Amino acid sequence: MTKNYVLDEQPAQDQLDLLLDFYDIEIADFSDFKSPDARVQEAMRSAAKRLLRYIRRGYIEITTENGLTITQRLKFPKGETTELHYQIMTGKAKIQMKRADEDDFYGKIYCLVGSLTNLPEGSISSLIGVDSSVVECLGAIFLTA
Amino acid sequence: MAVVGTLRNVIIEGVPYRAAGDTDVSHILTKFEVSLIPTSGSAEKSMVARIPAAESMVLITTAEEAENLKNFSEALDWLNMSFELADGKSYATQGTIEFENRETATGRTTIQMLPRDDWVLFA
Repeated sequence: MTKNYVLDEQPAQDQLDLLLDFYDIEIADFSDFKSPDARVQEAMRSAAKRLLRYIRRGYIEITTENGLTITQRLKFPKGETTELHYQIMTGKAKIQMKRADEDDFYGKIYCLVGSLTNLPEGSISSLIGVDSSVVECLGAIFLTA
Repeated sequence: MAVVGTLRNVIIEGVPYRAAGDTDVSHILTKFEVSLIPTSGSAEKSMVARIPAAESMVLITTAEEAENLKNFSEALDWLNMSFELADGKSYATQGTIEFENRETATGRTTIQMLPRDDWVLFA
């Protein structure tokens, strides 16, 4: 079945490039990410590819407004919340990852994304379906930022 | 399952703060204080605008955390903030905080969260 895309590949790639350029991330950085967990390696490898698809599907919008603005539109809204807004990464946000165990890849992502979206980690981890996949994909990118 | 209780989490500008274990937040959910004005005929409904604040929020803070909260209170920009209830529901908003006081012997720091507009429920 053909998926409905709201963006062509090039404009979606342009948006993804805004994110990668802002944090000066190379796609090669993902394959350098070392982890004994095969799922983690796979998640890192596929993050940029999947992110491109999520942008094309309209789940994510990236602009350079106020430096860098990332908006995640929820397919399954939670209460009155239909969008998540990601702030620019700071050291304070990265420090929040200390609450997850050293080898807890997904725990770190949820701590980090909770801080970037100003929502409790428990709220972020209660997202379902593609909404949590989008969080994990963005989070994987942020881990290399 | 319906659950009521104390706070799970308080986040201001992306940084979590520890709520005191006995915190009982007084959350004003409506933007109008409603009353009835008696008349010689039928009563007139009065709706007076107010800020839907989250009051009596007690955090346990270090001196450094208290200093951060003081700076937040005096900041000229709006703050991003949220809190999570015992049942896992959370409320998020942009606004400011009123730093009421800090008890130095216990670190108990009382603040109010004041939204610029409405709280957004995340449930």
